[in-house]
Amino acid sequence: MIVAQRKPLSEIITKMEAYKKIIVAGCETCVAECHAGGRKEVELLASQLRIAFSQKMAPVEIAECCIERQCEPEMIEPCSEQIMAQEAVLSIACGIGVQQMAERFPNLPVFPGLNTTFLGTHAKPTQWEERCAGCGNCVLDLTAGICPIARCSKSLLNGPCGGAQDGKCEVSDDIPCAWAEIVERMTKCGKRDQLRQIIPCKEWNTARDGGPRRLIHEEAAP
Amino acid sequence: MKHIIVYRCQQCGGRQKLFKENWVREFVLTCAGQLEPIHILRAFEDGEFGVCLMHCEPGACRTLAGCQAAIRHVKYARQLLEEVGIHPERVKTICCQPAGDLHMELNLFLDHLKHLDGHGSAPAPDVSERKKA
Repeated sequence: MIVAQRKPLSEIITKMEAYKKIIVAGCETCVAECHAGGRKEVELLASQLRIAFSQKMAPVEIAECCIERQCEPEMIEPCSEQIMAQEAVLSIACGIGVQQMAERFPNLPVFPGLNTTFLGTHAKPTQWEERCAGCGNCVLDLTAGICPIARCSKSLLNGPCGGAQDGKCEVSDDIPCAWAEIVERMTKCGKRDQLRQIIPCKEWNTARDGGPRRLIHEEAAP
Repeated sequence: MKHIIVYRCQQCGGRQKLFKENWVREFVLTCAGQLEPIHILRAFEDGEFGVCLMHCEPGACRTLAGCQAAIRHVKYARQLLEEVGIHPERVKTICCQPAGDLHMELNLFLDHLKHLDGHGSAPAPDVSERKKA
């Protein structure tokens, strides 16, 4: 899922105080899972803004809406009438949702309420961790299903480095060494010998380094 | 008139309303864990004076983890309120004990809110009814 966290409220208020009619638009998918932009968070942020603006004696109308998937144009449509009646949109979806809103409502200023952080998983009840760097050239088959690009601080394709100690990364004791985990898992799977093979240099032109990426599926044409 | 909003688990004093004072609005919950942060924020959106949650003792909760959830929700709501400049002590949790006096605890909370008002923000509610009692 796409993991995001809310921007500081003071930053949001500074950006929104020029408008008298605002809609807080959430997304029920990834950012709802990481408690950043779902229906509950829409209600809480809208309520905080109402309290904050009323304390400043600034009458601001704050509407709320929550879209099933803000990154899908057709899913924005049911709320479009409500959104078009506003002066500004505060989107608490990921960066994709914010851009989709900006594209759909070209005459309305759209502001992000979240910082889109990483592609990750819900690792512990209160913790989300990065799992994928979206490099466009997956090597998980060579690394026992543990991504060294996203989970190794140095993104090493052949590890571990000399800095890892007791299964922890030298960058921080909070970071498990991805390569220690890869070795452990390969041993459990009886594939430790596979580690003798050197993984060749990776083609990075499939990642962000090759510029904005585009995917075409001819077969998906209606 | 501003009120203190009381959310009370029905295990703490039964289903009937306990507080008759005009400065109290009381809501009886089947479990304190039902209280969400938004309920606390909405109270302050409506300009209320404070929010008090009365919950069971840890270990006595009939839904097992309800009171822990309630305490977590209150902690989160306090953070959100602090962000908008509302003193987090305007939200109080009271753990109901067999020998406890909920009326006294609520009056102490009211006094504390009045003390907070002494340092700015909204006026205290009319406590004439309390004086009569």
